[in-house]
Amino acid sequence: MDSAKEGLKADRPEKRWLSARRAEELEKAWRRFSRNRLSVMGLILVTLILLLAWLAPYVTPYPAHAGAFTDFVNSCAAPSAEHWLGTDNMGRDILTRIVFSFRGALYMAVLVLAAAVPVGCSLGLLAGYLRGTWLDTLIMRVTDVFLSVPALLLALAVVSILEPGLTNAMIAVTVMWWPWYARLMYGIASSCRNEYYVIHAELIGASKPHIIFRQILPNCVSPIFTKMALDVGWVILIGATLSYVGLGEQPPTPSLGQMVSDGSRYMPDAWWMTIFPSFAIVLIILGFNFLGDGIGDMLSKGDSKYE
Amino acid sequence: MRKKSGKNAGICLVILIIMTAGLWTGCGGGGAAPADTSAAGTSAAADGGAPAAEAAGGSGEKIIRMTQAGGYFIDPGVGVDYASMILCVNLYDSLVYPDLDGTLKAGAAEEGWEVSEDGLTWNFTLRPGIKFHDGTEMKASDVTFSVNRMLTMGEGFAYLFADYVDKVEAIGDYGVQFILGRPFAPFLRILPRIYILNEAVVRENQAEGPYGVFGDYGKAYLAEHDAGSGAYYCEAMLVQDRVIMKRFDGYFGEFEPNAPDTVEIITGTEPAAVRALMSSGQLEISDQWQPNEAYDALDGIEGVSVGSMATGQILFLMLNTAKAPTDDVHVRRAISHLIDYDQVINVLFPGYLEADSPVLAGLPGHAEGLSPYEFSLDKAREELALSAYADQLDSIAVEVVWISEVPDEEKLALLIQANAQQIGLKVNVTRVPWSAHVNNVAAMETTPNAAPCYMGPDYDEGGATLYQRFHSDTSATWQQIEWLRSDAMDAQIDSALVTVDQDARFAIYADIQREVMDGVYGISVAESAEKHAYCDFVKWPAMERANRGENMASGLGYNYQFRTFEVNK
Amino acid sequence: MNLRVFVFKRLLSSVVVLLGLSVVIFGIARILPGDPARLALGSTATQNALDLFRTENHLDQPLPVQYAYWIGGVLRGDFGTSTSTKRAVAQDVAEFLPATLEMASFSAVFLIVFSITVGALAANWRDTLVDGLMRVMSYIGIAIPGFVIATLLLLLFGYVWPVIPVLGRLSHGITPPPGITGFYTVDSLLTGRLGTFWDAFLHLLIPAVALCMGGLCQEARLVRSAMIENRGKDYLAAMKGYGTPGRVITGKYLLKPSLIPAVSCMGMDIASLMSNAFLIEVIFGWPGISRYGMTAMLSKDLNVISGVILIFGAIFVGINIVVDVAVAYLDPRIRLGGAA
Repeated sequence: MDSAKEGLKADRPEKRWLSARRAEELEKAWRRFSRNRLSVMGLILVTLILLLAWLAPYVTPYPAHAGAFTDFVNSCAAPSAEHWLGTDNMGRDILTRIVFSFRGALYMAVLVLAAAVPVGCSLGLLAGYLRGTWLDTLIMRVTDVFLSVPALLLALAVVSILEPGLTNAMIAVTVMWWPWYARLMYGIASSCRNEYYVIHAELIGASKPHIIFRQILPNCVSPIFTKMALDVGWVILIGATLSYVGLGEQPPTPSLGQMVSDGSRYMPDAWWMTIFPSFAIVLIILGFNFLGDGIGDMLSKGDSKYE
Repeated sequence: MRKKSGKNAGICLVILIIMTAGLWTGCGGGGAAPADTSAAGTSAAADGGAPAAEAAGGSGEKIIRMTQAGGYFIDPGVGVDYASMILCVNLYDSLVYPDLDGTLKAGAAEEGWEVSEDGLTWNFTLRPGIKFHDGTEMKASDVTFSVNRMLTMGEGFAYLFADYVDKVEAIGDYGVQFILGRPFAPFLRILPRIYILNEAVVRENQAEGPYGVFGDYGKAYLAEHDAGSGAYYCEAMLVQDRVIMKRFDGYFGEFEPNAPDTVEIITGTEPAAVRALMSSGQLEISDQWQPNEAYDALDGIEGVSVGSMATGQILFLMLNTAKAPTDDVHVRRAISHLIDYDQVINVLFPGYLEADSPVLAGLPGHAEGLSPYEFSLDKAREELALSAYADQLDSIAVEVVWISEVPDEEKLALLIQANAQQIGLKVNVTRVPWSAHVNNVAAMETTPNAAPCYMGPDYDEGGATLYQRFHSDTSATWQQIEWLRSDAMDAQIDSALVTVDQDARFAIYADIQREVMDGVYGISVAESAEKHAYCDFVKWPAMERANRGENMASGLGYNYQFRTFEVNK
Repeated sequence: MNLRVFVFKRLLSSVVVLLGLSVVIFGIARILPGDPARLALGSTATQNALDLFRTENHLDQPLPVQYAYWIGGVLRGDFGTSTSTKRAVAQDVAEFLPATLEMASFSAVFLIVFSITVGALAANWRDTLVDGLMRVMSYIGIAIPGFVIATLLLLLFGYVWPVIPVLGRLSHGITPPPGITGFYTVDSLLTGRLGTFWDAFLHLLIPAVALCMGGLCQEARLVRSAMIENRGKDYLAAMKGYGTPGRVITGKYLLKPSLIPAVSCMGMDIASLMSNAFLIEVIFGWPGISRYGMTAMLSKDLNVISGVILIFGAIFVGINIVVDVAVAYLDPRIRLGGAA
């Protein structure tokens, strides 16, 4: 979401409050962003998905099908003029359910990042600035523990032990996610720490919060944003995986992973139940990945090759 | 490596093509697509897994392979579920066993057992010459060992006996005497659940454990081996994979001439797997957990039929009567009017039968003349208006869970949810794995308001169902999420179970059934039927009986006495 | 830094990490609401049986004591008993782990061989159809969840075009080879059973491909860009000037340094192969430790969940060490230079 806004901001450099310099900077950023056609494609894709998710009740053909609805007479109907992508085993329109399931996916991505990024960043910042102290050791060892097992695995274990559901899935993924930011922030902060401007600020007696927030933090903004933009896709992927095994969003609320797993019971006859949600997952992740790459290009100021 | 590279690139290419094709059909509305799939379906049926078929066809032995859901145990002191019982029935013998129509037959015991006047002492004589799988003879001490093992461990079917059996004694080599603490009229009916273990084998293989001189009571050993005398012995127990049983030639009973030599229970009910196995001739009988659509596909395979037989189970919508809002009888009645029973037995679960009582219609002790619940949104609305929650419908919700291993239950849950929406009652549907459900119902607060659940009697009499569903002993288990905990109800059930006179006993059963229907202590949605796809060359007595329309009343597992099957290939 | 010291330090910090992981996973397993004894023994267990179970498993003791018992057992290789198989978790793991390792190693071999081959090819034929195709695949590969690839392959090879078996480790009716390594392919070759080998190999093919698909395309892309970048380097021109044969230049002086970024990324990917295996094994009915762990998760089999996670943690930590060492080997700057 943040990344999308970022892109949109860059999109409109003509706003009046902008000084000429700022406008020029934005234009340059946009040029860096749009140099890669895929980034633009990602922006369009993400905008489209956001719009669809937001307007889901108005643009989908059968909004009622997103909830508890059964029409067993029309179950497993093949794609047709009435149901473009066919219906599922309960007779619900698959197109409608895919569009509605974007909501949960986006919701999860936004909330997970909103929770994990501040926590991870502040811990990483703290550890990085207080490098060499016991606090640094503690924070970074805990981070290592969480990073020693892939996020998906531990998230699966946590949700399976708690009750399955969207909230618990989000908690689990958040718990697995903050260490990445802590480590990223730690790396930047501890390298900034020895820069002359930080030492200078310390010498003239600046307070610790001042140094952390005014001197070090600004340096971390662009890598953090880049990582966030790329992480949206990852969180969506993990969310889909959790819901695939039944540990994510609970029915009847649609979720992409669940639709694939339900559909796979009806293969190959009702192939549309599996194939279309699968494509939807790939599309949404692809969109965010492209956009994330573009934002990375844009923030890297064009001079260094940020991978 | 070169060769593989080519293959891999080919696969990449194919996936890419499929994806692009999918995108096209997705965009274009897919006029050609349905034709595509039907072709795909038949090709899967025709040459599915052809390379594997040769491997299986080569052996030519009489084999029956069947899929079942995992989580079963071959230890008769532990297992209680469907698949466990299929295995135990074939690996072990019990003193008596029920025939397909429910009549009790002599198993390891000889005919002519005796019961004392007061109904407290039961005497059995073992058939001499019964051989365990290691060739030793079954003695009365083996029976007492098995009973004591079950009671001490307290797992599995122990709860059936724990309250009644005081002690069991061996009288000589062949005499077995049960002494009950209080009379239990249907005692013979629960006896099939005592499976007789070979004491010597168990003792030889016991490991360290909490049971004193008995160590772990052979639990670790019996988890993977059998120690029985049944018609089949366990050749291999491959955990989470399959159990392979072979015909035991020293069996005391009779085999059909073409009875299978090998029986394999294959773990896993994934429709894709079942279908692939069946179409390549590697599966003779399917499990009963396939979705309806999958049975249609299996029916299309040449030489495979789909049959359905009564399971001796009722599909209940169990209701928590202690938790808001289902603690209000009017809410429960409203829910009972929300289910479209016709749709359930005709569309959702074809083959199911109407249920008018918590007790199966064919079971001794079923009350006549009860009227089944009726689908009517108007009546539901009226009842809801009468309830204490009528003015707070926005803030309350009925929580319905369904078991993730039984996807068909979701349909029922969603049907209720959709209909409840129309009368303004909020219903939340949640999917839980079976084990989580079992855990949740252990406390009232975590027990959901409602859960569909299949349940059958532990023995063939109405009292079994009533005890399992409504007695305080069984609350906090999956069999009763009602949390009735009613002394009056307990007293009524207890008094029935010690009433030796059958008519008087059945009269009490009938009273209880009326009370249950009126108070809506759970809803009997339908009598369930189970569907199996099976190869036509398999002669399966229980299925034949069902096809003839005769009633079925045998206990869990006894439809699968493989020695009575025939493989006419 | 001396390579040996480097490895030793890595090992030491790994032990700390694994101990931390054991605390985390133990904590997670104990926040479970409800009664573990009831969960283990089933709904029909009598009160006596439940009480006995609690004392046997120290469930009546305070949490730190429980942890001490548990970790003590784990260090002796005793992870407790599974409630769903009624066997020792260690025994189950020993039985199921080889299947997963076999699939993962095949997958890793695919990953390494094909990512290098495809990457080198794409670098060679830069901006051609091959290159473009690989780029598209790499974008899709990273965006497609493992379970989607697996489901699509199952649809393809299970129904539409059933030329390769997709379910299980062996066809029904073929008896597994005697367990020497636990790898069916290796064992059948060792015992000279070619038919069994071929069958086991075919069964491995699709799951292994599904498993490595995502990483493969990415790796190939990394190899490609590194090769293109290194090709312009002066030392290659110098090599050419010395008259070194082209094959040697490509193999030794171009490919080797180009693998560094891919190898460190590959380590991560091989590790994530193991976590993706959780879904792949379920979908393809592969009787490995991931499916075992997944079944345990869905049935809240706590001893198994904690045991499996710990074992995976150990495997990941091990892979990371190997990768660090491999990178140190490939990159003389790390091997000979300062801190890693």
